[in-house]
Amino acid sequence: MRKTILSIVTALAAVASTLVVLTGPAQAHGYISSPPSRQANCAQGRVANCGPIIYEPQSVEGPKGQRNCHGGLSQFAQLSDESKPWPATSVGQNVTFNWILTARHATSTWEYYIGNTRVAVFNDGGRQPGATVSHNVNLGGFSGRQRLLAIWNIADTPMAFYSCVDLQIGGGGGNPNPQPSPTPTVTPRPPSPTPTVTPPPAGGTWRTGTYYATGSTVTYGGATYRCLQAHTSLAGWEPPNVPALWARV
Amino acid sequence: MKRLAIVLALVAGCSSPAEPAFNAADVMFLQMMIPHHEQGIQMATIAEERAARPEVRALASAIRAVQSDEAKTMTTRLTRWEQPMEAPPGSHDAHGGLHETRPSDILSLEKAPADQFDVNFLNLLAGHQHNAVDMARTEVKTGLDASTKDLAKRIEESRGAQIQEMLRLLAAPQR
Repeated sequence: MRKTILSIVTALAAVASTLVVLTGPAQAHGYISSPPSRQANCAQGRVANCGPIIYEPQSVEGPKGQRNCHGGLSQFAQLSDESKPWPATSVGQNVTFNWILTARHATSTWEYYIGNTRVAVFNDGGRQPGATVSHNVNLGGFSGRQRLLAIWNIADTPMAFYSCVDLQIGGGGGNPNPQPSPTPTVTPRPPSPTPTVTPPPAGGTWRTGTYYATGSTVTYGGATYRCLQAHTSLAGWEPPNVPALWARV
Repeated sequence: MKRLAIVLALVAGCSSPAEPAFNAADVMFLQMMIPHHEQGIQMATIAEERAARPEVRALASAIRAVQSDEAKTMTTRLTRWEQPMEAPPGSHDAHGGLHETRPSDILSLEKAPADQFDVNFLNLLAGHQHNAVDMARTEVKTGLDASTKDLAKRIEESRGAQIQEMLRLLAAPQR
């Protein structure tokens, strides 16, 4: 009896705390995924010791009008640390920048800067972005290694989202994301390349980042499992946790 | 006294007082996560058919399989707890619904030109999974039921790993 009342009290307390959580300011809204921005390189693990940005690359939100990579947020200051080994993507003069959005805020403009030069601006006139956002930008004759700053200006708040992208312009490097030439002609799909996969050690111990073919077996936690569906393993997809992918033998 | 205990047990949503307790955060998490999973499954199903790169198709198939399974588990749990499948209208759009994937987003993925499909799919699904990570974190912090919090931990971890994989696919040359 007492236990039941206690659990109701606990439940009510949880309702209260949930309400606080759900109505609190939601963070996390958007960043450039390709060519990879600094926060994308951090989140992907290509650049080490980035701090908390690895958990929320979409959260570099600060007042409009800044010209830095971290939106003025001290917890993300590593993004502006030029001594870090930021990989630069080789590109030509025309580059397509793709965004990952986690909230589709009404947008005034998207701006692209190299140094003090605004190389491109796209005016959305206060509209909500579509499913995905990509911009084809001409880099205006800049060449060599450059740090491009992209700014997503929100229409109905004083805030903006900041993403820096390191580029190696020219020198024969093409756009690694051969994306929409803006012509709507559909290019026939090239013959599917064979995926380069490392065959798993037969009967080895399960590990992350490994391609497992249907029917292959692994051991995990002392038990043996058979793969039901080909996939590349991930943390959180341990065999006993995903019966859709693994059956215990 | 005995009758009161039964009534309270019913209010708490337990079929027997011995069952482990759950709270409103657990219920809200399941109610929000089930439709979120369904949308992920819809996107993955489209990608299984349309994605050009074999790695993208394989990722989509695995996501569809795992999320279909998880959606079943979550639906069964809400049913067992005798809780509604949907949260009361308006209870989880505190942020104006901006964090939701809209039906029109899925429709535009379906209609994306062939040469843009993979990039659009990876960007759309990565954003969707970022939001799953946020919901899962809230459940880990505020939930009560151990198996629901466990599921949330695995969702937080596996979606984080999927985002890394999708960022890798987006950055890698497409050949």
